[in-house]
Amino acid sequence: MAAAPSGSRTRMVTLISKGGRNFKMPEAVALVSSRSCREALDYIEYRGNNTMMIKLLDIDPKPVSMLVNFCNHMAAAATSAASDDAAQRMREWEERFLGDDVDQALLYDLLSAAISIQADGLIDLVCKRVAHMIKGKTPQEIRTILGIQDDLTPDQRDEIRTDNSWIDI
Amino acid sequence: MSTAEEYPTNNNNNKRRKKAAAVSLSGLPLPDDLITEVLLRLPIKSILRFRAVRRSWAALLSSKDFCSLHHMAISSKVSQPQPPKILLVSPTATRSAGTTSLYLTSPPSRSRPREDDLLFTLDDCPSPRPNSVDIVMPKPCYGLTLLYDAPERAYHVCNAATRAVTHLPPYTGPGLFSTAGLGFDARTREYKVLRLITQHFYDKEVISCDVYTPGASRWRPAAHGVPFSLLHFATSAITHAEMNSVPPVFANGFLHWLINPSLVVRRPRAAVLTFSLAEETFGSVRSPHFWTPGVLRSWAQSEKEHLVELDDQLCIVRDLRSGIPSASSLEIWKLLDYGNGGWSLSHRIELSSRHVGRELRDPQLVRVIGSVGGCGTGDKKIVIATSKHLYHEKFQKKLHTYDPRRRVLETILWGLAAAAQPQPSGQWHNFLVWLGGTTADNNGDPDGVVAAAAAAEPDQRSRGVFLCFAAFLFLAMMVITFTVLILSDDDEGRSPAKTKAGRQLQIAGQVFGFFFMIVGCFWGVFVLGFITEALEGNPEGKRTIDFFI
Repeated sequence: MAAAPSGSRTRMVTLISKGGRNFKMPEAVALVSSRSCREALDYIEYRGNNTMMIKLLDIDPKPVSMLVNFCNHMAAAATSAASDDAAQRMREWEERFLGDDVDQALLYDLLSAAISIQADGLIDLVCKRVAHMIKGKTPQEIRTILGIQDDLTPDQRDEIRTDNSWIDI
Repeated sequence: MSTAEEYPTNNNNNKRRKKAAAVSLSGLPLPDDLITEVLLRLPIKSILRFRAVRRSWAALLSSKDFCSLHHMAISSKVSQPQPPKILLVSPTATRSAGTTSLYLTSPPSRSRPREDDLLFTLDDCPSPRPNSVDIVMPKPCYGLTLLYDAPERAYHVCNAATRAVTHLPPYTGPGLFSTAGLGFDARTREYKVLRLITQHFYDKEVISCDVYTPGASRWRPAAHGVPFSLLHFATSAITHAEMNSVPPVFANGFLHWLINPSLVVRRPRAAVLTFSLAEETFGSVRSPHFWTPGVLRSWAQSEKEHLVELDDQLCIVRDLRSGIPSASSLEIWKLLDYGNGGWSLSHRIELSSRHVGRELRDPQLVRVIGSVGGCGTGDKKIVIATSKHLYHEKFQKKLHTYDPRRRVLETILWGLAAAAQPQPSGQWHNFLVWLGGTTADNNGDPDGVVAAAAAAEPDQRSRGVFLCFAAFLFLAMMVITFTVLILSDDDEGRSPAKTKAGRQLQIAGQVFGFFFMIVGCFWGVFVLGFITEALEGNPEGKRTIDFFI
């Protein structure tokens, strides 16, 4: 564990986004969601200003602020009792969180930020959303959504089609 | 981790989905490191379909690493337990002879699976007798099921999720009895099928052990054959497996076969023949205490035991049913330790109560085939299949789940007719595979591998000891030879023997010396042969060495 600081202020974790914007959250909040914060605690020592700095310099401020938002909400939810109600409320919140204004670029940035601090809950949520976007689509639609070029030979395509002939498309 | 099916949905879902589609047609490429994470959360049908998106996806989605990760993702999905499914081989009365149909159904259900449950028909394994294909092991191994066509002596492997069938190269040589088991080698992450066939070879019983891995074009011999000390156990196990339909069980990275002690003349010190898939070596497990040594068990009694894997542990099931309801029970003994073969009673199913008793006392054959549930999805239930109900429906097969805590039996599949022709007594045909609900991810038990290595070591050690002993004997002989020769040699002008007796002794000594020298030379050649064969690892040579031990 890190050496206990002499002061009694709460320790903070600061995420620095592109453009030098700082986003702070209490260490306890970060520990709930971020695996790298949990692991880092074994190695780092707090000095002076009582804060751990995490640089996410190639990510825009908006995804980083959403990330902090997510961590705060997760920490609050972790303290409240688990119940069917709570699960339902969590699902509703997740839906609003990744609402209509979250476009694909923002989604990817959010995913990169989550991966940087190993926030497994958020990674899971964003991946589920992307998987939901592409599940059930035809390969051509996937290529359009993800901007991929088709590079299969006709033989390979036929082989896959016969393998999958039982799937109702 | 959860998959796309559990993405939070509400009434606005459809609207939002359309909106999301509209928004996301921006054509942004997904970063490579994120692709795997997203694809792992897709259901199987989508994964199969998306192989056609691009070549790198085809490679990724077919790779072994991805398959294991996806399997773990699916099986850790505790929040939404999947209903258990049953894979059935059903008589195809309506289809032409020579085809076998496999159906995937969800219990509870009456037999006669519906047409839309039809998984596939094995059309391209023609055989003169219809419905000759049986399922070998009632529990699938990581999603694959082994099927056996007895008249054609051909094995097939089918994947219930992707509906792919692989036909293994058929066996064309001579053979008496054969059995095969399918397992998964966690180290190399590949499936292996082991086939054991007994043959008579110049009046000697020979067991051929061949391994098949998917993708290979033919069977290859196993890395190690059956050691001589286990030869008669293996013969008994193979015969038992084929004649009484006691299939092997895969657990902890090993395939296990039950030995039929009534076929073994010697005292049955071993009850189970094991085969390690990683090392490809054979071993054995000591018999439980209720296998009274020295007493030959009757055929009928030995039919009443079989192996099953419950909660990743090997168990023996004893069928202790009798005419007296209060004294009838089914006992399940689990193996605690591969090394010293300790067995302990894990469950006893009393058949004295009315409902349980009626369902389980009545049929001629009762087999425990697995368990379902346990952590998270409800109480653990034991799955039991029964056949040949005598008093009620004749030749019928049923499937039940038994809750050991509440002692409740629930019949989940019934009315399944057996094949048209009556089977000879004692024949059990594995007609289904219990695919189960959530399955615990079993990556192989490292302790099991260690225990098997310990069991195999004595063979290696004793072989080494024998070779050292043989070499010593050779040296001793040489020493004696030369001593005797030197002592009896008087050509160099030492004092010649004066008396006749002395001369006779001399001659005797020389004869002895020469005799020893010849014997010693032969022995030396023998020892050299053993050493080279042991170094080469020749299984035949090792068997010869084992013969001397």
